[in-house]
Amino acid sequence: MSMDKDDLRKECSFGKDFITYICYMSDKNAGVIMIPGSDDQFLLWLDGRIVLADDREPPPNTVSYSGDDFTVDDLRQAIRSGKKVREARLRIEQGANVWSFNFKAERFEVSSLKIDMPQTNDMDERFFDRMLSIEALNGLLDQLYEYFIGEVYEKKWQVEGYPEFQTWLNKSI
Amino acid sequence: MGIYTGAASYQRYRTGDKLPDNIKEFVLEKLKEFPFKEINPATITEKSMGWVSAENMASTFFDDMHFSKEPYLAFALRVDTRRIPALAAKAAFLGEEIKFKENSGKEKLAKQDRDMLKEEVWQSLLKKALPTPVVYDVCWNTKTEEIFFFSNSKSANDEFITFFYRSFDVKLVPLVPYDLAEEIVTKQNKSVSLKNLRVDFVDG
Repeated sequence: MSMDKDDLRKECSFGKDFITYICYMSDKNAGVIMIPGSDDQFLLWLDGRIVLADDREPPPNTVSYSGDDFTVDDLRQAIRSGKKVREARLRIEQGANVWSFNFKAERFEVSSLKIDMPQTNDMDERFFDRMLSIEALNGLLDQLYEYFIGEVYEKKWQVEGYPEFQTWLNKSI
Repeated sequence: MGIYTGAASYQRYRTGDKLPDNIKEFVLEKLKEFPFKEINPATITEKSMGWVSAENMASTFFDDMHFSKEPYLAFALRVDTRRIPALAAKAAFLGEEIKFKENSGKEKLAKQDRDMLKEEVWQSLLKKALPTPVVYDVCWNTKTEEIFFFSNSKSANDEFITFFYRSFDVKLVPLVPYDLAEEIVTKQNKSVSLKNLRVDFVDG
């Protein structure tokens, strides 16, 4: 029986794979993200909250960390046990722009995005400042997702990406 | 909180249908056709929804085109709901039940009487209940055909998709991981099935 679009959306684990991948990229590159073929360079960090889950068998086995006690070893340990990132609070910095927000894997929901309030009472000015900030953030996330999808599609992932990921994953063992 | 103040929470959509060329006039016409209307207190209407200005939730005036902020169209979905707290309904029903027994001389209420009494109590309480308004900002980028709905609530998003389709006759495609991946694969001309794509970070 063929799956309809809603089923495919529900079954799809790309969201969790993607956030897990960017957490790995961030740690591997000390927060510096450069997307090949793009001029954009930015800093990306976990910002004090992460939820990881292993959904392969019901009920899902979930672990969450918040605050400063969480280390990269906790992240590696959770991934080694089969968990992927379901939700994380991320911080992205690019030039003078800083975005801190919760990012959920299932529907790529952005929530609690802190945006500096424009110092103006003009409604239009305020609108454009905030929308441009939101669009810029989405642009960076879209570029990163496009890079990720390209990476995991290529045979290069099996030959280079996966072994590199395993080296990072098993670093502290 | 959304377009103008506070921390922002949003879900992204893409308009999945062909849009008219005169998009601003088209949207103006539909906003005027499906504006928010206050619930008439004399009725037993539980919910009302419609479009309002993103700058003022009490305004349904769009003729000045203030919602058009090139390339964006910004407006808001207002949903008013009248709710009766369960305990208030129970207390009112029990009070009416006592009165009914006294007046009718019956010791027990027949199912039919009980249902009728419940309905009467519910209707009378609903007419007294004040509607609670909720407003969700909507921002439509006509250049990228992307729409931002400023809420992550599943029920609010479901209501928005349905009401948006009713108003504009335009289907919205959620920009969730699967659909975004589909767009990327199409853009990159890859002939790979997304259904079979699995990323394993650990063996097994």
